[in-house]
Amino acid sequence: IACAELPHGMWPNLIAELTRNVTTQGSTEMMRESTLEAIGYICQDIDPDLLQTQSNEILTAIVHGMKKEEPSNHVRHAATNALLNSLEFTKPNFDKDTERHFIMQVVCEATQSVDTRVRVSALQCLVKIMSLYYMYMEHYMGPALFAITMEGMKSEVDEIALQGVEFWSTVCDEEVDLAIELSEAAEQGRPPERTSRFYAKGALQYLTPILLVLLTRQEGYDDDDEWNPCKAAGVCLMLMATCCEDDIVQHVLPFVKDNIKHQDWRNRDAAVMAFGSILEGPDPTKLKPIVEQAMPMLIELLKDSSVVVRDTTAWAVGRVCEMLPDAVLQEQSLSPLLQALMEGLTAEPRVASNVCWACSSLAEAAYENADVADDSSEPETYCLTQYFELIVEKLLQTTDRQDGNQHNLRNAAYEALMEMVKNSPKDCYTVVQKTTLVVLEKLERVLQMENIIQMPPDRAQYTDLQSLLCATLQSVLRKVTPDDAPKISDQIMSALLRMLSSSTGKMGGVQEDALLAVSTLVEVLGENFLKYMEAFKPFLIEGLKNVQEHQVCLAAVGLVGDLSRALGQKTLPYCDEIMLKLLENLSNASVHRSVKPQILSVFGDIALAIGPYFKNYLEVVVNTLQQASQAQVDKTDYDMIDYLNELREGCLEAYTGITQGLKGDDEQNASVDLGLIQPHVAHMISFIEHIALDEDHSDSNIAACCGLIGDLCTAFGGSILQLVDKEPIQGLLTKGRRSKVNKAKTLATWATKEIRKLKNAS
Amino acid sequence: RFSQYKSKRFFLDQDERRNKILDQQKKRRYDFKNHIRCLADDAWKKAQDD
Repeated sequence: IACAELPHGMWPNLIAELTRNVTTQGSTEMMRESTLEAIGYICQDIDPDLLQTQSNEILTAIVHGMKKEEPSNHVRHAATNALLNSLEFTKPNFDKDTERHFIMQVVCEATQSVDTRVRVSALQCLVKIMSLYYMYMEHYMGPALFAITMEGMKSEVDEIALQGVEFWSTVCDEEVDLAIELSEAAEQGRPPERTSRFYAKGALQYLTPILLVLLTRQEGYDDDDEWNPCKAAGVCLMLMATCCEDDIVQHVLPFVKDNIKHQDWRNRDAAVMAFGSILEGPDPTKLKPIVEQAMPMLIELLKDSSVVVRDTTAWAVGRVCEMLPDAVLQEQSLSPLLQALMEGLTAEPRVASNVCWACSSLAEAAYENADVADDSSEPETYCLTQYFELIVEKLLQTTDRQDGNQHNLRNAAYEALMEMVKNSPKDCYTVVQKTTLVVLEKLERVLQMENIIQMPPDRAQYTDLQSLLCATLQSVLRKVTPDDAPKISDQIMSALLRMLSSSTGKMGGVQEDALLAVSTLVEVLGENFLKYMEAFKPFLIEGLKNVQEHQVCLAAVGLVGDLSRALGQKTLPYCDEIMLKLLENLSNASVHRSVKPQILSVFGDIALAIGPYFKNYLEVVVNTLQQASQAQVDKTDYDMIDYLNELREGCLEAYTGITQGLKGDDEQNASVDLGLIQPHVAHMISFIEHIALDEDHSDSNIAACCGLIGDLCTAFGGSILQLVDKEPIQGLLTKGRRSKVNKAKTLATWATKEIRKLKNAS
Repeated sequence: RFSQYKSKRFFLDQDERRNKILDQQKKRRYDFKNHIRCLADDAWKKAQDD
């Protein structure tokens, strides 16, 4: 009730009454506990700003209930919980030394309570205080927090140990953020606002042994959904490695060596987990020889008698392949590793899923390492070539596994397949061709199952599968040569049309993926896509009409852009209907806002494609652009600032497309149609000035503005000079030329040269 | 924290696929316009040489 009424200024005496209930002498235990619980719930759910003015009263009541003199543990627990929920709005109290000292003293004393619930809540408070008020913790770290949390981590009670570990994970999170802040500040040549106190580095030698012991504390059966000190220690160690970098290696390696062949699976698992956890953070050149040395043991452990160890090992191998692929990509280690990975694909789903991830990372790294001739974007060959066919075959088999729905295995196998295809060199092309046919067959088979599958869980798997097959089709299509594409396009298009016309194809995810696959086909076929347009148009329109599922609508809008670029003037017969739907969507308030900037950009694509024929739509589009270019948003909301920038970029791209399209190709004689846009040039320039003066403009805005300035110069010549020769525009061009973003730099330099050319000519 | 335990990078979930394709569409639009501006690599170099 308080959360409903306080925001409206009702029940103004509530907080005063509640706090009085706690502090009045003679108030019963039950009254104090219930009141503190109520305060806790209110603090948890209400907007912190609303309680800011009463934070002193609330804090006084809470601290009163938390004190060690409080005889009831129930009251102490309720009070500590209430503090936990009120920490966000007690910043003014934390800013004052005396008040902070007092709060910290009470919290630290509560961590020593004999009551587990009080201890856990107090430790939770310390975790939150560390994340909210890191800059004030120096005074308490050495004398109190370090000892309290170390002791907590060693506790036999899981809930207490978890909070001890969480405290140090939070310290790492903070210090990693501070390191990023420091490097950003250095880049900008200014001092950072806050600096790290390097608590994690300082505590490393004491913390690591405790974390390593916790890693061995496992039950016989590993419950996926259970959070326990062992898992928390694994995450903490990983964060410590990221935070402390090279320093962690010496504290972890001896444990790995001593335990990796231990007779107890818990110790073997802890050793592998520890090893996998420190692969990110330390210098890769330092880690590489260590990883090379460890690989034979890891390969052996992929066949360990314990499934937990096999799973952790597959995860660690996946991390090696992602973080340090150079350590395994030489022939000597690659062959045994791949052999083990292929066997791993038939292991339990959790193990096989990690193996798929390893394959994805290996493919990506091998492709990046391959030699590329200067004149080619695709390498001739790479180190996975001789294994390529086998890996693809095994991955295809994995996608068919009956237990593929467990541990995300089917998705992981398809993802690995896509990465293999995407990252394949020229000498693997025949396998890619074969894979294309296999994927198409699978798609056909899946489409035939449409009417058989009725049960909801099967149905969900079935739609996921269609989405995945569409995505796989996209990755194979991108590899197919321009000569081969038309040979398979009929079969692909007919499958996609069937999918779009089926009831599953009406479901958002599948419809979107099918449209995205058509997008790729359009890109690959270019003008040859025209023969499918009549059959496809109804589905395109259906996609544009699907405003409830905005991702589908967005995919359809993007596809209109692709079609415009691919078909050019041949888009014309379809334009009336498409333009109508796009304009309807723009004026429809229920269309998701992310779609609207894209529609504006696509106006530019259509204008470019059909050139002078765009004059049919010119008036309505220009009016729309004028309205959109005057949009304003709440500047305190970062999301809205981003949105405004996207909207402006859409307008600029539309203006650019219209100007370029109406200008035509003839460099010497500009088209007479250009005159149609002339009355709007002054507005375009003032729009650019408006963006220039807005300090929140994005790099993309600068690039698009510069592009439009250049386009207006080439289209209208000397008459434009007086409009662009003013400070906001020149300032924007200078900013663009100095930008680190390539697009902005290129277009600003080009536009400046176009202006100079006009000046020289006049 | 739970999602950080034995976490692995997913390569191509639907969100990522979608973002990639939207980025590619943006790039194609940019390239197409720059082609018209004679800013495609060769033409731009030639213009700079001139």
